[in-house]
Amino acid sequence: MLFQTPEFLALLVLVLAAVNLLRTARSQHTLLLAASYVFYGWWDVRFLMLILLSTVIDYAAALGIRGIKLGWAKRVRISGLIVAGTLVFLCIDWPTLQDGAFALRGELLAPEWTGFRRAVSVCLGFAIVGPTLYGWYFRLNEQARRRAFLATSIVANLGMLAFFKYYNFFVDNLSGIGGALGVQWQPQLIDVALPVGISFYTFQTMSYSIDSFRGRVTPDRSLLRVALYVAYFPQLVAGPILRPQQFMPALADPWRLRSQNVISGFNLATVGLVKKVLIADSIAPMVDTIFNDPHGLPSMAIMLGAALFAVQIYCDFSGYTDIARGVSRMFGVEIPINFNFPYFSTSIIEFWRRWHISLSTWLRDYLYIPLGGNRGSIAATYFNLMATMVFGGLWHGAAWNFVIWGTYQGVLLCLNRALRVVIERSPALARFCGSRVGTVLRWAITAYLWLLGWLIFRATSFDDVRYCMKKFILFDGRLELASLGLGRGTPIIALLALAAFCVLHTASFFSRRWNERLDMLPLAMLLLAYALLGLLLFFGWPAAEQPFIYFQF
Amino acid sequence: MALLLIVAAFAGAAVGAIALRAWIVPTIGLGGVQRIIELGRILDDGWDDEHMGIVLGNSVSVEGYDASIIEVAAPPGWRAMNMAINGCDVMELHVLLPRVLEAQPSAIILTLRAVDLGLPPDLPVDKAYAYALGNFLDAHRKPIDRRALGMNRDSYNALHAHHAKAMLHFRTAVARWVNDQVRGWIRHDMREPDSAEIIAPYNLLASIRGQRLVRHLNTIAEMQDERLAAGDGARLIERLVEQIADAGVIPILVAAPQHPRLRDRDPERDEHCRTFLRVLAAQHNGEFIDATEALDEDGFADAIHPNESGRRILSMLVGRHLPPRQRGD
Repeated sequence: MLFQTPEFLALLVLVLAAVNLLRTARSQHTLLLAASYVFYGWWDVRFLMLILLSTVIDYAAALGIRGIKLGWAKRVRISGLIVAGTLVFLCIDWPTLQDGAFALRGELLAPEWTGFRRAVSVCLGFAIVGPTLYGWYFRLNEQARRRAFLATSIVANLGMLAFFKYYNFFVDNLSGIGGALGVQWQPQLIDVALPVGISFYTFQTMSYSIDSFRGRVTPDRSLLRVALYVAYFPQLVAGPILRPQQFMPALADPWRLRSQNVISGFNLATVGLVKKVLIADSIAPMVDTIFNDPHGLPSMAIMLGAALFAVQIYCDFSGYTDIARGVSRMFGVEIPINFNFPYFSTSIIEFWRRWHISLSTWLRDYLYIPLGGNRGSIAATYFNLMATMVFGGLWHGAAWNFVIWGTYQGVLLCLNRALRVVIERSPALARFCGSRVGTVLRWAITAYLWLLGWLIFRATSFDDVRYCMKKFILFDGRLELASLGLGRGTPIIALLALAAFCVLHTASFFSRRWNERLDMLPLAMLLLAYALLGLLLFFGWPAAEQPFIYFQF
Repeated sequence: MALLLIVAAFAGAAVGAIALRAWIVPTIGLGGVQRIIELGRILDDGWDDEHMGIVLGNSVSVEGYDASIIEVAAPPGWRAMNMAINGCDVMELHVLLPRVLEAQPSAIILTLRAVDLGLPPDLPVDKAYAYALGNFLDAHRKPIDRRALGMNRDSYNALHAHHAKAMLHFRTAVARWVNDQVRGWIRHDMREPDSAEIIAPYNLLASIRGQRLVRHLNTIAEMQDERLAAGDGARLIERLVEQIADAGVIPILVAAPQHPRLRDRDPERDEHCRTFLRVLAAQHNGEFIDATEALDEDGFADAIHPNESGRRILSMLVGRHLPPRQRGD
């Protein structure tokens, strides 16, 4: 279910009303979990099975890590839940139903989608084997048991991610390498859609197990609460990636809706909606025009494309986050900020502290630091940085341009670290960098670097990456407006949206965030502001639905 | 309280919807698809009892014909109108044609390229809503066969949309209008004719040469190969011509002029196209005009569209091929 649809608005209003009426935490959690499953299942009910499996595995693993052994009765109940989930989510022909095609009652129970039998076998197999394996782990000594549970959680989650997202990519490349070495191998590729948000919720559930292992979180005995932590609908499909410490304390007591939170949350969500619909979606067609076939376009068009995409991806992703945070704030639950004016960064290190904060901190805490962080030699530090950023690039998608992008970011971070050392050793240089001119220069260089990075990120093939980078770095001197593609689509609207973003975002950075300004308005002015926003959204809402960019990750 | 905010936002949106219906669309139109609405009005108004030749087709016909020149070259008594629409390929012609036939022209001039024998591009949703607003489906005696046409479901639903829903689709009309106005100030190589222009609705004012032309030629060649490999659209063209002939209208099939640098790419394919059109025209008592070599490089604005010189040559060619009026017509 997309945020910017009437069905989401209806779901939100219903859930808010129902949460307000329900008095106990358990009833609220049950309702919220059901709503979250409806929200996610709106795309494809079958993929709810993955969320259920991920939830159960990490629930059991976290308890097992801490030595809390579930009794057989509980284990059987959980297996029953898996079986029920398999029957409901997999054994009904949801693809046909959700496609709107008519199906006779009998046919609904005989789905024919690819991999149906295998999926059911795996789920039922897990339901049968899981309780026994869980009990067997408790025969190991404490250290082995803890590691076994942790390994199971990580392997299961990364295994799901690898299968659905990376299998075809790796197999295809291995086949290519084999072919280059003279080994003929035509592997069978799998034909399966990428479950929406899988990269986000698998990381989220892994952090639950890992933090339990590290003793940073006490695992919850309530499967319901853990399930809600995993599937909480405002942040389920595109983050922010929540740590258990950031969300689970909020489940201790029933939620009480407060007028101030509801209004403030609504304001924040509205600002996110405006970013997404009026700016990102207005820019999207021109970005597509430039990057779907960049060959032949002049440097000016490529540079403009980079700038437009930078604004598009920021407004799209931060808009989504604002809506997620705003919706959650309505319930009285604060989700941490995920973007903190990254485009005003004056270094790449700073950029990664401000951009997609939940992912960068996840990578820092669960990959970079366990690898050794900066505690070893300089070479080891650089290696750890590169490995983290390459993995981070690959997380975004199974394609070489993401690997190149991750590598590029890793190289920039390493260079930045090295440069910092040089600057610290030179007082004159340090003074200059701290001056106003130096700050502007550092900002300009950083902006150039992240713009180049976005080019790599957005390009759809190796050839396109090469062509775009060449045109971006080596200006070709072509200045004719006609070559910017002004004859296609609505380029002027894209440019107006770009200009509006620059002005509004800068005002927001140097003053207050726009949702905070709305929070400060008296009621009458707020109503007028919403009426005007309604008018603006009506005229600016694109006719063609544009999904959030990060849904593809 | 949140409900109050939602109500306020919807109130603003409602004001916008009313303004859109009552003032904005009547004033500024629907942008690129306004032409569909205007052609509907012109067809409703009809014409006096004359021999009327209607040019239908896509941008090749938009750029390629000047109805006033066709009239000059044609035998006495003929009038002509250019009702071509940019992007109006074979699938869209199936939607448009019945309304045109209702107005009882004497001849319909269709200009087709080899690529039109491949899978036709889908009808854009924007245009589908415009056809809905213009009530074009009222002229269809049978429901549109979506699968036979290969039309996607969104376009099909848009064609059948209620007026209110169709109007709502064009809520971005203001943004598009601003876009088109500013683009018009910046670009001097394109003309924005009136949506109701039925004599010479061409857009291109300049011809591209050099590397830009080479890129366009390559793009056209690739697109041609893709569409021809994707499927067979010949049957759809046959159905169009059958409908025209069944309505007692003369089908004039023109093999579109081909850029000299594209002529040697696939001569077999081009000959197949010419033969197909020739036979089809003969089967339905129509006329076939082979214009594939009618223009040299100087007659083209780019890889496929005639320029002013090419337009004159093509219009004269078609005009000369219109049959003389019989006594008693």
